[in-house]
Amino acid sequence: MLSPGRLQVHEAGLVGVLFRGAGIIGSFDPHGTFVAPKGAVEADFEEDVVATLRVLGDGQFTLVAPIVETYRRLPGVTDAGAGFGDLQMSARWDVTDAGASVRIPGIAVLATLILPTGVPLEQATHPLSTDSTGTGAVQGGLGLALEQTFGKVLVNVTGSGTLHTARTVHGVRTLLGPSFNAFVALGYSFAAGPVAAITASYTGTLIARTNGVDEPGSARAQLRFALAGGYAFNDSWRMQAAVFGDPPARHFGQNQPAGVGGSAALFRIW
Amino acid sequence: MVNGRGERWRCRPSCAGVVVLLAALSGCAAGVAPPHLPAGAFPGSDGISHRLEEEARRARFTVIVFFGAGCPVQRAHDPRLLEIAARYRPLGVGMLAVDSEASADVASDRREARSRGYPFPILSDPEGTVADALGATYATYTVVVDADGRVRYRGGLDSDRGHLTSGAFLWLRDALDRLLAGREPDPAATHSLGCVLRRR
Repeated sequence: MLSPGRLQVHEAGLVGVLFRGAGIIGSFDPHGTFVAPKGAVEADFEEDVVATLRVLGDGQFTLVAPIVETYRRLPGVTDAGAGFGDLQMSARWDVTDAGASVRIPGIAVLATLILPTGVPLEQATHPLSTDSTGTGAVQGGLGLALEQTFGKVLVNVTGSGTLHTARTVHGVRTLLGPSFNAFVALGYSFAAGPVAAITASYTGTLIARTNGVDEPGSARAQLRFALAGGYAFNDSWRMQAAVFGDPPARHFGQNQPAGVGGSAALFRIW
Repeated sequence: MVNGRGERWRCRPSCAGVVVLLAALSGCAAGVAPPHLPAGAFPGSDGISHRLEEEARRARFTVIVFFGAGCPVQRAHDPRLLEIAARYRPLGVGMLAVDSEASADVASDRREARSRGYPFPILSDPEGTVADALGATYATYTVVVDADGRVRYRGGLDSDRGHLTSGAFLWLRDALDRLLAGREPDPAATHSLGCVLRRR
């Protein structure tokens, strides 16, 4: 229930809307030093339409269509923009179910494909590029999730890797390095029905290459913690919500913004 | 989606390549024995050791419900189980639950039966013998056998999951009504919608 858009056992499909908002509190420089913004303000919002369909019994296919809004303010200039983001498609195959065996955890194979349907940075026209809504590159990834229940407690460990396609902007070819993500969740199911979880997610991206040459200091990293909850009103409707934050401590990030925010989602299930 | 007949496509026979391998790992393999009552005695929460073939011979039909203590779907269906017991036991239908989870033991099953007010025993089956014999993988999976031990219905209690609704398809009740009237259940097999049984 805590993974937005994920079907539970016996569910055939769902559609829903997810709202997300975050305020940027600073950023990490190439050396992992956190730098607080000096007079700069940024808030990011996103609304996703999510649809998931069960396929072949143990598989799930999810489509996420994002609408992205960004607000930025620097001394003397304020800018806001919005638009359609990068379309996300993901698939999951449950090889074994969590909780079905004391010895064997739930094992799932994951795949993701993100298409550059949003506006990349170089095509933004607003003064602070707030109308940029996408990365401009195709991203594809594979992952493996292990999940096990211990009474009312659920533990999830997921690892994944992502590759990006190169982008050529004004004759300069840039290729982001491969990304790796490690995700851990500890969840608890309350007797009255709600579920809650604390999660930690670390994403690292190796150095980029520009025109075939490595760019030292271009690696990225981000650590994010979250507290999430979910509640099923009945078999047809459930909601999920979370608050998250990127700890502004040295070496917890690299070449990435840091923020705090929250999300809420409502799903109709069949 | 589960339809009014409780049918849900689980694994296509035409799966190929990696999908076939994955489906087999998921338990969608061919060559599984037909469901049958296993031999042997199983300790019950009522302090009596029960043999399923003997239980079947004592009644016109016997309802066997697979039990998951921690399953919210099980908990939600307790009122319907109690209704079914009250309605059909006077008509000669036997009823019992089976705990085939790895943690099953008589003491905990006795506590569960008492706290839920079950008028029928929960049999402890930590080795999963009964689940394997009757093809149970989810809690609330239900089998109806006749006096000869033949399986006449298998699948879910109804089409509800964690919340009971007034518009649910009452598969078990409909099956029992048809069997008691001398007819075959239709559908004779549906899909159970409970939690995965935790096995060794």
